[in-house]
This record gives sequence, structure tokens and C-alpha cells, in this order.
Amino acid sequence: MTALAKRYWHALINQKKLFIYTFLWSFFLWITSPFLIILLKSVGRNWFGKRWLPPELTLDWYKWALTIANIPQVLSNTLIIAAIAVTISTLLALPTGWALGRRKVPAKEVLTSIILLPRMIPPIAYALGIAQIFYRLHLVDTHLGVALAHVAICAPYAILVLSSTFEGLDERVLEAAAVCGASQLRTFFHVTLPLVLPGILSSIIFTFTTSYNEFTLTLMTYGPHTITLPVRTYLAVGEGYWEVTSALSIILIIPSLFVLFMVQRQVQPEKLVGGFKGV
Amino acid sequence: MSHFTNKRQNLITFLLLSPGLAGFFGLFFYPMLVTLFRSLRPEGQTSGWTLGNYAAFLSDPDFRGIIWLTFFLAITSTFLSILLSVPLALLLRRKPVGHRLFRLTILVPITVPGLIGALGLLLFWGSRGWFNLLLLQVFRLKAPLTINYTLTGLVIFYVWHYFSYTAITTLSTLEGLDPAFEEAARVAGATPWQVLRYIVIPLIMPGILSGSVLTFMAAFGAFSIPLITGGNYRPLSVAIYKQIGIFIPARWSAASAMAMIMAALQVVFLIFYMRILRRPMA
Amino acid sequence: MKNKRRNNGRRFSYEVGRKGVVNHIEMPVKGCGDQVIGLTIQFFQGGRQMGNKVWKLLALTVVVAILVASCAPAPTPTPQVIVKKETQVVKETVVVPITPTPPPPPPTEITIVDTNSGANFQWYWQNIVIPSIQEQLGVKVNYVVGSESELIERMKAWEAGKGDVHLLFVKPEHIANMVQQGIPLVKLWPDLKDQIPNLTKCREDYLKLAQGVDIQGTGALYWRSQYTLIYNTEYVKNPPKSWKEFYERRAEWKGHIGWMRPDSKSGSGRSLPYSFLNAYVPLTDAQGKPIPLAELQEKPEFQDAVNKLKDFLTYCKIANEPTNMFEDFNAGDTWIAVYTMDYSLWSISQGTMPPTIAAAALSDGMPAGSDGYLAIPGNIPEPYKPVAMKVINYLLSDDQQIRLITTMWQYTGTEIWDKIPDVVWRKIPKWEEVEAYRVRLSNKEVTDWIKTEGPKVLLGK
Repeated sequence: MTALAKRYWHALINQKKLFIYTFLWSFFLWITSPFLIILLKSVGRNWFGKRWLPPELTLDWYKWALTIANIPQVLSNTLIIAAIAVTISTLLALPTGWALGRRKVPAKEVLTSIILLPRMIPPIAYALGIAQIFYRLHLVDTHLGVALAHVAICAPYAILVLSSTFEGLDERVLEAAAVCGASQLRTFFHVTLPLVLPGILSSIIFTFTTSYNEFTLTLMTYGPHTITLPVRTYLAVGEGYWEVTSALSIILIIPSLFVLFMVQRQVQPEKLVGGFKGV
Repeated sequence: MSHFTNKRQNLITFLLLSPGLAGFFGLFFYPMLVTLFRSLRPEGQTSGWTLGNYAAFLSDPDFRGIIWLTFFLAITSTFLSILLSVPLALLLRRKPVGHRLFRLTILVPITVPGLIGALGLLLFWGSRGWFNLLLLQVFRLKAPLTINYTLTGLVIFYVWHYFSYTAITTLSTLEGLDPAFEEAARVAGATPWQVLRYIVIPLIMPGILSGSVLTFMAAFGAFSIPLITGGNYRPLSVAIYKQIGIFIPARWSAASAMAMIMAALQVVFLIFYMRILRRPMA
Repeated sequence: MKNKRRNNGRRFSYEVGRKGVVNHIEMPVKGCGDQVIGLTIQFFQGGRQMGNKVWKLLALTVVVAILVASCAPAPTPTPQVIVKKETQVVKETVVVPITPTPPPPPPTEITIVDTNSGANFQWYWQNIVIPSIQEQLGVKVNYVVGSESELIERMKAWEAGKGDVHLLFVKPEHIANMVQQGIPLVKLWPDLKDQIPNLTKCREDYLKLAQGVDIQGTGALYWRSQYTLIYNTEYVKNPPKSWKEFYERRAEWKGHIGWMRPDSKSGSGRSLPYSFLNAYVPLTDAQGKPIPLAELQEKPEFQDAVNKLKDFLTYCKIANEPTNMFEDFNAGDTWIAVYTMDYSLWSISQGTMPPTIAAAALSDGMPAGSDGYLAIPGNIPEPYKPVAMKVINYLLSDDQQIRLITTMWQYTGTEIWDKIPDVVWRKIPKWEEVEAYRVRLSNKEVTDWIKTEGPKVLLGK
């Protein structure tokens, strides 16, 4: 009797496990299979009708994508714009984040929420204004112009991340360093910087991915010399063969994965977490 | 003396704040003002004042449909994201085999360019995509389901793109939760369901809430996804873009008026959302 | 037991490493969310006591900003712009007097923006045309794909001599729009026919009128594109012979007729409804002059045709853009449609469309496709204009035009039918045949109406 009950119990437990893994794996497939399909589409030929896999494999679409899409140019545009946007927003955010995180600021919360407003209003609303201003200032279709538009959306993020990083800095550690006889410069380089660096890096990662993937503001300010990756994908989805668009997407997805991978390797993740939680 | 240093300190604070504020005013506030003024100008002119653009949009028979669609998509996808994120977080918290893979999977939709994801989704859910092949060949359905360019499809795509915010915050709040609470409850004789319902969920509510606000904001302002995958369904942002992307000459004033309405709606809804969702917590 | 513990141990260390990885993303997002909420609430609810000063300051800034914004409908130059202008002025005054006699060497690099080509022609431009321009003329061409609205918006903002797109390749509706918008384009015909001798090989009516709009000779005709009926022989054995027959037999292909949204980016959004309507009510008079829309709308036949079209569209699978329709073709969802011949033929040859696709013509009018017009913006620096003209002349040369029709099966812009090898006509119908049923979209009022009102009138419930 007990053995039977035990068996039923185990069956139930196993069922539960099965259920859990079905859920998790279908979630996994739901997220990733679009990319798998893109990959297959980009190497398949004559994939018509109801077939799971393409009948013929080819690399033609990659050749095609490379010639029509001007990949080196598109990539360099995207990276240059992202670099400018990251630099400007970090430069804006460092002092502001410091002030918000470390100094007495009257009505700090209100100020912070004002600075965060751009993330609460749909970007298209101010993208319209930015486009009109930039047309007048001839900033449209320049790397700086597109990057500046990105700053509108990147800077609030950077300020937020940095101010919470600086806030997490423990006064006592700095004091301890001073007590131990470290000069201000030494304290800065040997104590403060290592503590805040992870925060700065994560802010950079964030602004970078935001700028790299930004579409709305780019669409309103780009031109023939500043076509970025998302805009190119948009144009290709609208008027290209999807085989070619898929090849293009696979090529253009690599840098974003690569950058993330690099960052994961370079930055010690524990420190990043530490940077936020304080020491 | 102290008064002097105080003043000096204030000045330093202000100087430190100024780059961020300059960025805010130059790149957000001023553009918003330009949008606002443009929305009050007659179409194609740089002087004169009118409320005609607002009136035209508000009296447009499509207006209600567009607003309804925008809210429907944003709210449904936020709701579904929560429904997906909570069990996901509860399962991942147990650290099942391969959980780091699933954790990375959560991050995919927000790190990969959205348009590429949209292309893949269109291919996956298409009438000969894998989903329909599964239905036809494994579940023996007669005809494929139409998902792309339908409301259902759009909701699926929205959830795919924007659930990450909810999932990440839910998961990290859950992992920050002290297991002692649950143990105490379990010791006191609560069933797992009761623990979940009365202990865990209320405790992680702030995380769910903050994540779902991000999901809502992203879904409400979504532009690239409905632009590519929306078909005949056009939420506000796409309707705004069509004013300048299709009409020659571009209807900047009309677009601006719609954008101002959109911004106002979002702010109003956010307040509403906070009020409603914060109340049971207080 | 032992085994299990070891396993657990390994899993644990693994977690620490990975958890962090995830967390470095999580943390800020979480922070952001919490703070956004917290702050929003404070912002909306409790800001009053906290930030009186800040609010006053803010109010003041708002007032100042409003004053600034309202006082400045004209451009508000920033220091940057001023600096730019100064240096340019300096450059001119310095450069011009020092070297007056030898003219500066002509530019060797130009930018062309293409708002016309689909993926097949984007490939052709990049692989065939641009390299041969470089080889034959020594001019490096930056080829860029663009969109019409964005291009027009930018060209409007150009000051004289400041334009940085030196050559345009556009659709007839685009060039008509530009001319109507008063965007300066260089008048090529007949003023510059000595600089561009090959222009004389184009038919004059195409140079004079695009979409029924007098384009004042600003465009050079590079190609002529033609729509045709395409169908999948797997599903359609007996295709219709005319629009009227197509309409009568619409129930046979219910849900499988490909059609484009009237406001799609592709020209097919306009040309399909146009030729459908034109089959029932001529939209132009006997001389080819457009009939005003108001006059048409009073005719009961026109209303009837619109209703027929509306009804017909309920039998169609409406696609957003051509790519969507071609996906449907490949999936077997769409069996029959009207689309450009070149695109379909090229797709079959490349294996992006099933080989079972066949083409036919509807006798009561197949729309002209997006004929390709080359144009030179008026506001580009003067030295670039002769180079752009040289490029246009080269593109209209027999060699290039024959290449166009033999590689891409696209009808040439120039009238050189006797020079084209016979093999072409085994693949595509002769131009005389095409011309018999070709409907040029000469009534711009109607195409504009389709574009702006079409989604409501034709697709509405």
C-alpha cells in the first residue's frame, strides 16, 4: 500500500518535473527559434510551401547582402554613432550622477524624476521636435546629430545608473583610506575608482546597447551618410527579399553579441554587482 | 564663513548638475516644446495659432480605434508578461538544470535589435512557419492559423519583445527575498499555494510592478515592431509616423498634435496605473 | 550520494559565475524600474512640499524657454553653425583669388540616393552599374538606398550649393512630388541635351510628364517597368484575361489574390487600384490628359468602379509591402497577383520564388511600373553638376541600356528596340505589345487620392 502510494507520489513529482522543463524549454524555443529560422532562411534556397527545412543550401544571400547593404559603412556608422552617444552621455552623467548620488541636492527626487522623464514619454513625441530642430541646425545626417538624438534617451539611463553607483560608495571606506594616510589622489585611484568602475562600465554597456538598437530617433534624423543598422534592417524588411534580409540580419547581429560577450569577459561580474550594493 | 562655504557648495552642486540638466533641456524639453508649438500651428506654416490639429485628430473616426488599439496592446502585453514572468521567476529561482541558459534567454529580446527579432517572429509564426507546421503536421490541423498581422500576433510579438523588463525585475526581487519568510509560513502549516499566494507574491509585488511599468511604457511607445509587423493595425506611434512618412508634404503639425496627445495619455495612464496598483500595497 | 554532492558543488560555483553575469544587466534595470516608479509617484504626488524652489526655478526656465521658442520661428543658430559659416566664407574668399586660372579638378566622388529600386535592382546597381561607372568614367559613386519622405524633407532644408546628394534615382511619383513641392532640380531637357546627348533617345512624352505632372524636363528616363499578371500554375490553371473577368471570377481565388495596401511604400499600392479603376472608367481623356478627381467622383460609373474594387479587395489577401506578398506566394497562400515583371522573373531565376510561377497580361490595362527617373538636385555645389550629367549620359548609353534589359529583363528608358538582341524577346513580351495595354498613371489626383483616402475608402469596413 505504502509502496503504491510512494510510486504514485514519485510519478507525480516526475510529472511536475516534466511540466517544469516543458515550460522552460518551450519558453526557450519561443525566444530563440525566430533566430534559428532567420539563420536557416539566410542559407536556404527554394524553401517554398510547407517544409521544415530548406531543401538547398547556399551562401548567395550573404554575398548579396554584403554588396547591397554596404555593411562596412552601416556598421561603422552604427559604431561611431554609438561611441559618440556613449561618450557624451557618460560625460553628462558623471558630474550629474555624482551630484545626485553624493551631494545634498534640494528636491533630489523631483530632479531625478525630471531627468528620467525622457524615458517615460514615448520617444516619437520628442523625436518629432528633435528632427525639426536638427533640420534647421543642419545636424540631420551627421554622426554627431544622430548621436545627440540618441543622447536624449541614453543620458537618463547613464545618470540613473551612475548616481546609484556613487550613492552606493561607502563613506567609511574612503575615510579609512584617508586615515591610513592615503593622499586624496591615491584614494581616488586606488579606492574610489575601482569601486565605481563597474558602475561606469555597466552604464556604458547600457548606453551602448540603447544607442546600437535605437530606431525611432534614428529614423527621424538619419540620412544617406548615417544609415545605421536598425534603419538598414527596416529598409530591407520593407523592400528586400527576406532571404537577403535574413543574411543581413545574421551579419548585423554578430557585433551586438560580440560586444556583450567581450564585456562579460572583461568585467568581473561580481564587482558589477558590488558596485551597486555598496561594499 | 559657513554661509560662504555653503553658497560655494551649492554652486558646485549646481555646476555638477548642469551637464545633465543641459542635456535634458536641450535634447528633451526644447524638442518637446517645438513639438508642442508645431502642433498649435496651422499645417505647413510657421506662424499663427490653431487648435485645429487637435480637433481634426479628435474628431477623426479612426481616433477611437487607434487609441483603443494602443491601450489594448500595451495593457494586454503587460498583463501577459506578468503572467509569464512570475512562474518563470519562481522556476528559475529553484536553479533547475540549465537555468543560466534560461537567464540569458530572458536578456535576448532586449539586447538584440528589435527589428531582427521582428523579422524572425514573422518567419516563425507565418502560415508556413514552424508554429503552423507543428499544428498541421503534429496536431493535424486542417488549415494554418493566421497569426502574422493579426491582433493575436501583435500581442505575441509585443510580449516577446517587452516581457524581459518584467521578468528581470521579478526574478531579481525574488532572489533577494529572504527564504526565512516562506519557511516560517511553511512551518506554520501553510500549503505551498498559500505560501505563494499570501507570502511570496505580495513580497515580490514591487518588483513585478516596477518591471511591468517598464514593459507598459515600452509597449505603449512601441514603434519599430508595429511598423514592421502591424499590418493593418496601427497604434498611435505608427499613425504619427505615417503623417510624416506617407503624406507629401509631410503633415508635421498633425503628427505633433497626435504626439502630444500620446505623451499626455501615457503620463495620465501612468498616474492611474500607480494609483491602482499601489493601493492594495499600502 | 558522493556523486550527488560533487554535482551540487559544481553546480554551485557555476551559479555564482553566471549569476553575476546576469546581474550586471539586472541591477540597473531593476534600479531603474524601482526608481522610475518611486520617483514618478513622488513626482506626481508629493513634489509640492519638497521642491518649491526647484519648481519655481523650473517654472522660470519654462517661461524663458517658451519665450525663446516663440520668438524664434526662424532658425536659432547655435555657435556651431555660426562657426561653420564663418569658416566657409573664409575658405571661399581665400581660395578663389589665389587660383583663378586653373579651374579646380572636377569631383571624382558623388552620392546617389535611390528611392526606386527593389532588392533585385539594389543588387544590380551595386554589382554591375557602380563598378562600371568607376571603370569607365573614373567616378566613385556612393550608392545609398533612401526613402522618399526623408529625402524630400532633407532637400527642403538645403541651402543653395550645400546639397550633398548629387544624383537621385526616383519613381515618377517622387519626381512629380518634388517638382510640385518646388524643390529645385536641374532642368535637363531640352536645355542640357548637348551635355547629355543620350537624352535625345528617350521619348519626349516621358521626359515631359511623370504621373501626368509637368516635370519641366528635370528627369532622365533610365528604365521603364511593367506590371503583369503573375500566378502560380499549381493552383491557377486558367488565369483571367482582363480585369473585368478577374473581378467576375474573384470567388474562385477567394483569399488567395495578392494585393498591396494603398498607402504602402511600394508604388504597387497605387498602380493596382489605378489600373483596376481605369479598366472600368478611363481616368484620362482621349488625349491622355487627366480628368479632375471631382469630375470623376460625380460620375456614377466611377462610384460603381470604386465599389467593385472595394468588394474585390475583400477577396484579396492584403499585404503591407511587396515582400509580404512574395512570402505569401512562396507559402502557397497567395496564388495570383499583379506585380512587376522584372521582379518576378528575377526572383524565379534566383530561387526566391517557386518555378511554377507564370505571367500573363490583362487586356484592359496593365499598369506601368515605377519608371526610373534620374534627376540632379539644383542645390548641389556647381562643380558636381557636370559630373552628375556625365553619369546620366553614361547610364543612358546603349551599352548600359542593353545590359539592363539583358540582365534584369527591365525595359530600357531609351528607344533602341532595334539594337536589342532577339533572345530578350523570348523571355519577355515585345515593347509594342506591352505598349498596347500599358496604362501610365497619368492622373496624379487619383493616385494621391488612392494613397491618402484609399485605406479608408477601399479597405474601410
